[in-house]
Amino acid sequence: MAEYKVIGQNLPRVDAQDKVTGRAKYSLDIKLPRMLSGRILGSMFPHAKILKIDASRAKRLAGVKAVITADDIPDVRWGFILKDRTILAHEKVRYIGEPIAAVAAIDEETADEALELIQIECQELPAIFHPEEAMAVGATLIHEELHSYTAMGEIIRKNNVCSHTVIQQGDIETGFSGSDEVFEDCFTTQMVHQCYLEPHVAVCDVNHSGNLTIWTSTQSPFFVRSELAETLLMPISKIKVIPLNVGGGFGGKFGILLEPICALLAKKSNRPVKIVMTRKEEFTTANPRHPTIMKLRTGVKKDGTLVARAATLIYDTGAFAGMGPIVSCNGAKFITGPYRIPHIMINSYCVYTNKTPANLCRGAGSPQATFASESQMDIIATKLGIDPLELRLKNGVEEGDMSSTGQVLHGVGFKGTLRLASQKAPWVPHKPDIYQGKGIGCLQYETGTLGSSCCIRLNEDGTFALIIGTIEIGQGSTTILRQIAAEGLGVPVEAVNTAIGDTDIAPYDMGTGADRVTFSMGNAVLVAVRDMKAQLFQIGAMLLEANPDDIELQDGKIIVRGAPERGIPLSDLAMACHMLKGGPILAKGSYLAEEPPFNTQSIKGGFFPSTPAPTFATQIADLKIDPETGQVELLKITAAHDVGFAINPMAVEGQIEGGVVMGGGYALSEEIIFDQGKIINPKLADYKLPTALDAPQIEALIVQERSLTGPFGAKGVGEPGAAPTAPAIANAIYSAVGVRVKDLPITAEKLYWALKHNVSVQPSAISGQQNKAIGDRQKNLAPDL
Amino acid sequence: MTHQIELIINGEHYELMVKANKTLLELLREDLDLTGTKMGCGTGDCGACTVLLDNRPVNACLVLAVEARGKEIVTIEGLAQGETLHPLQQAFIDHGAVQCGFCTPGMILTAKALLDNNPNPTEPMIRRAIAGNICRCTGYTKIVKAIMAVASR
Repeated sequence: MAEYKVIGQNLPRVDAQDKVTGRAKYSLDIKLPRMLSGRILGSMFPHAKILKIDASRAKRLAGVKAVITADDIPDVRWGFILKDRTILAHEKVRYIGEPIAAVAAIDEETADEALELIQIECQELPAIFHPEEAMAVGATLIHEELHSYTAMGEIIRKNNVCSHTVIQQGDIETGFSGSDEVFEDCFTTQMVHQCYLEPHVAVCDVNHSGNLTIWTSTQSPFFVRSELAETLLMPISKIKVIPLNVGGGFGGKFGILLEPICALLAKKSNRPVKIVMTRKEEFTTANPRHPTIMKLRTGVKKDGTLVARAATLIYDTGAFAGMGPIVSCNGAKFITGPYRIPHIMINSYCVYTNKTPANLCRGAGSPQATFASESQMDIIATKLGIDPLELRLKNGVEEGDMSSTGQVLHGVGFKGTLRLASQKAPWVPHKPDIYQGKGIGCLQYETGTLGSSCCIRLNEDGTFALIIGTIEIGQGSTTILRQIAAEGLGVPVEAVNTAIGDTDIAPYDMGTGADRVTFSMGNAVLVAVRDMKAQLFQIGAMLLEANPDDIELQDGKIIVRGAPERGIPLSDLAMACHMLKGGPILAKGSYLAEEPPFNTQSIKGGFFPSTPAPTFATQIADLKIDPETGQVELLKITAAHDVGFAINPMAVEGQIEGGVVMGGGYALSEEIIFDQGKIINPKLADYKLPTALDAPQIEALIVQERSLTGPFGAKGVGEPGAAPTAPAIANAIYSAVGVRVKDLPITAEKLYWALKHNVSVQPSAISGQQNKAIGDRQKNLAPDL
Repeated sequence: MTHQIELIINGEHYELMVKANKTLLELLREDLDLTGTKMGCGTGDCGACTVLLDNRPVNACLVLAVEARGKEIVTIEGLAQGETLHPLQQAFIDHGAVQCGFCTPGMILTAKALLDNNPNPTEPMIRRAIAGNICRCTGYTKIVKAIMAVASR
């Protein structure tokens, strides 16, 4: 891309130097004078009525400075989609670990000791751990007042279903009657955790005027500010959220969690309070990915043409909705994959159970749906005797095709990813070895939207400050937005300094998530660039006594076109402005994508039915299996992603590579395992995260089918990396040993039993003692699955 | 009960009073404000708190401060020579091996211990050496490349 000078290049990260020397500051590193340690008491019961809380002994313990329970705090229900939860449990607890009380003390030891002195009397209620039991007629209600909760949008809710999304196109019965073959499969996925390395941390300080300052490990400072204002009954303007480096997020740090508790402790103790979550608390209370049950019925022609798909998706959201309704809606939107299917009928349910509340986790509902859809694509290919790559090429979407909600798709690079990945992997029909296999997984996802805004200020030395409230969680936004600004302004990247401001200073941004930052904030930066240039040209025209239309910015100088010798350096211009006219030269930009048209009749009870820039990916897994143990060894993942335009290719590769390894963990090892609502492996060692030894060789490939609306054509890339990996691996396992596992994760144990029984697995055939987790999930499912 | 200990951290000599149950991680981060050493789990599972103890990588959360008595400790703050970065630090920047940065200090120190012992490790040796350091962002690819680049010099 010779036409660009700054974008499209592998510039090193602006924050890398501080990160490799230990200078980079995270919320964990904040220490204030007289700071107390906060700790939280979680529920012991999965579902119980709170009869009495006695915190008097804890309050009397030496060194304890504040104790809070529901009685001490505003009685406010909060939640993004459904206002269904309180900061501390009120009247009832709904999962093991739900915060009931909190303590601030001179150190963590004292705070922990105080927690043990809090006495809670509860009356246990029947608990529900399986979402299909929660949906059964007459099931115990987890939220008796569901219908009275304030909700965003037109949410469809009933009993324990907090959100039901329906997506419909064509006529499903016509579709099935016109099909030559109909495939029915049920897939299940487990609960996993984001496992960012920095735990949730909050540090709160309240001054004498009642102003709250908070340092917190969040992806969304403005969101934290508004949710704090809502839950603490404070004006937004009295809350300042200070951004710092965040040690990973992957969706798990969007919105409030620890923050209101920490703020209330700081208020009550009149001292700064810091709360650091333990890993056990992370697993028990912090926003894991939804487990699912997904039943797919797909009709096809003999030649492989997809005709109809009916699907019932159940997303187990645990005790509270969180962003669950968006997640389950995403499942509905993407269960059709990147394929043309004329007749669809999708029902997706977000269901309460008495477990840890699930929330956003990289891909927000799409990794689950993609596992089901892409696994079934291979089942279809096998039965029809069609090569899996051919089947995908045959049905794959192209420019001008429609999404599941009837949005016309533009900038469609799907087949580009299929061709590039299959060429590089390479995709060959024959098996190299008896226990070796290859499999494909594909993905359609979206670039998120919502508002972003920024400012650009001309400094007195002629450089620019890009002022944003966008949080760097590792994805590289600070570097990428700087590149976009420098390219737009036509200055070297060194002439732009990205300044991440706190919520008092920076313009509003919805937060780092949903693949939206490069797209939305990148566009906002370009709007601000135009404003900056217009102002520079106005002032330059005044100083140079020329027409603004004839002014240009060249090599750090404002010149009259064709007469560079009369140019004014930007530094002089900045100072001249202060002296002659009054400064500073401050530009602003904001961007909110228009909602592309879609079929309004196609979706009920959903969110974001159309989004600005679709993204696509194809991943091909190469692996081998040890038949003695069932252990899968990943050899290589070839991952081709359509990112529109790579502003910084090295950063894009980093997103893909990280996603692939996270997807590999999802496929093979990671799982939060419950026993009667209690997590039995709330520890990184027992949870089994992929290490450098588990990670395969990864070939990250970039396809650039430009978006019509993205900055320089760019789309999002953070979320898709982790989604196609699991089905690619499941399909490769099938190609290696002829065993179809429809339940994640595909542990060595699960595969060992499948190989031993020589069955095309059938999760239910290996339930029971051999794998309790599968047994729990597959309970009550049809016996033929 | 407190104990007096003497130890060397990043070349500087310290004489400190520490509680018997204080970990080396708490000593570094809380008492000495050497916050470059990170805390990801506190149970020795993630490696974010890796420091060098007499040139061996250890999880500082699993070492009691009193166990470090008389020993020499290197943290990430002690790696650069003035303005000049250690070759591993520079390689991590150049190869895009840093994302959120939370695993980075521990990862670099583990890699340093490996290369100090074996300047020419193979890729599998590198992967084995850093297997105790979890990175959730990068997929390890660029980290391994960065270490390989320094090893091959």
